[in-house]
Amino acid sequence: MNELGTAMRRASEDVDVRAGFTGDVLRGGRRRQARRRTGLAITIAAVVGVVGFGAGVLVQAWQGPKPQDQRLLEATKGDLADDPARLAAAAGVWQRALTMSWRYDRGVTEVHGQPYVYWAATTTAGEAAVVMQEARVRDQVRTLVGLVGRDPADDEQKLLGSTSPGDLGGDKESFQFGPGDRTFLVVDPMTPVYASASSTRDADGVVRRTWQEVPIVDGVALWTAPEGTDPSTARLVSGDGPPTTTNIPRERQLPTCPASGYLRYGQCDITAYADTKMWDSTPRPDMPVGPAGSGPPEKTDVYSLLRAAGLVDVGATIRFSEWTVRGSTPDGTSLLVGEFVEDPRPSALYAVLFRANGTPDRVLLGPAVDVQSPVPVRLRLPDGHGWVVASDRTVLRYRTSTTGDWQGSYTYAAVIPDDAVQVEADGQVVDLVP
Amino acid sequence: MAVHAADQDFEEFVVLRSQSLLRTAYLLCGGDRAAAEDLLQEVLEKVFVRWRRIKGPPERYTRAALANASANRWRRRSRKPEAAWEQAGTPSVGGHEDAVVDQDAVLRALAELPPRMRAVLVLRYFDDLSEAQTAAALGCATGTVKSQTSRGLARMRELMVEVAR
Repeated sequence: MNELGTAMRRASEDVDVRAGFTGDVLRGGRRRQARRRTGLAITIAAVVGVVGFGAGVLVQAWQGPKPQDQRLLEATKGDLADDPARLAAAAGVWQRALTMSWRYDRGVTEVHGQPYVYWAATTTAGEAAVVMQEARVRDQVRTLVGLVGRDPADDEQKLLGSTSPGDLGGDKESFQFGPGDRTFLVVDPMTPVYASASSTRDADGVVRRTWQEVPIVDGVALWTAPEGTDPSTARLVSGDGPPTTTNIPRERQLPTCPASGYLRYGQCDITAYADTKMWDSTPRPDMPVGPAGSGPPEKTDVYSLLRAAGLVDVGATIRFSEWTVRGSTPDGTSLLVGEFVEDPRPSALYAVLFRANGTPDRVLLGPAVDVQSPVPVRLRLPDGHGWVVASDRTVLRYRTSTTGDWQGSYTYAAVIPDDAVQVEADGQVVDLVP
Repeated sequence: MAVHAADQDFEEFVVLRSQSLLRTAYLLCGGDRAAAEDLLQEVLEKVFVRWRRIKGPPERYTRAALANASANRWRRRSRKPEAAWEQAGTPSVGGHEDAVVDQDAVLRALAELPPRMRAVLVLRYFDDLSEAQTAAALGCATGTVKSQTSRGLARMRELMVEVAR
């Protein structure tokens, strides 16, 4: 049973049906059945109505007060701002894109007034326009923002991305489009915008990025990832001054959804991701090492620790293994070892060492998990604490020379001495390479 | 007579399975009990109408209908106030599984996910459906289930960590 499933079961275990529920269902079902038998004519009429509605303009005119978002009252910006035909075309693309399902997906119950073209200009990725429109989103008036531009696949003008202000983080007005999804556009967030093309890791595994300020011109920041870089590794942030670490608060991050994925799926969440293989064959998700009862606190926020240590990149999608090794080293230092994936990098080991009072002391990035090995987990701890080894094989032993005697006898996982050179798992020998 | 027999089968199904189905609905609604009852009742009423035409196990059909209905029922979703997040716990990795995750925080995180992503996680981790079964239930590709699962788990972790900072 998995951790999330367990939590879900606990969260719902007190939920039970109310008295009379079955009767209510039966009565409701019979009412529906009766309606169904007499509803054919009404259904046909409704279908005709939908067709008629779908053929016209989807956006309802709204007679109300001035928009709350003052940007909608400003003059259109950009070098195409004076081209009414282009502005109308962009607004038309936007209107056609706001289908019923598009609105459902974003919790939009009504759109207000007419679409407004905030910016229209010629870019290195072709002509593009930022379109805005006020709408009621889950009972709040919010501004929907979309980017209209050329689809490189067929050269047609389409909606290439949009905000979803009803979802957490969905209100970021940042987009990614153009050939290879290399061009990034951010609607002026009223603070400087910085871009970074890619990340590197230093010897300790700490992620490093260099940032450049992207000028805001005519109300938008436009930046194209350099040739030779993978645009999926690019990151944009806002704020006063470039970031000094990759542990950047969410409010500064400007995530983007590649237009190619948006055009394919209509939203960002289901774009393809690297299906990185993890070590998931262990029969024991929780593998203790050291004396019984030893080990770190039950709750350890590894994600935050990795972030704070700079071991995960800003904006990266992180997945953790279900297995962990928990316990203590022979000198009593509590430890926690596990596995995580930061797409698209290979799955890697992490280790957390704790102080005597149970607070985290050091967070380490280990090597990639050797999934094909009989002993997939081989992580050397610092300061002579030894090696953490784990396997789905039953019996583990080690030796300190390739001709020496096998020592120890552990089940699934162990912390073995720092001078060990080989580990054996159910008779299969694996070298320990520092 | 056949209708009567079908009615009795359906009534027995509702009596025996409603509790379990309601718990699924409760999670699909992000912990909103009233919305869950509404959702389940609506779905069961529709199942009643189609009862005799359902091929295969009716519970599987009903769970799929629940998931799909929840994914399209954003209107009735009661959005939790942001302040409620102040009490959310942080997720953790490792340790005894039954002690690791704060279930209230899980409900709040579920409530913040897009409905379809939430449905994928509930079907996968609560109803223990395989990726292929989940894809079939939601009418999408297995790859979509994989990516929604991965991103859903990552999003939940982010949500829970974010509010705890």
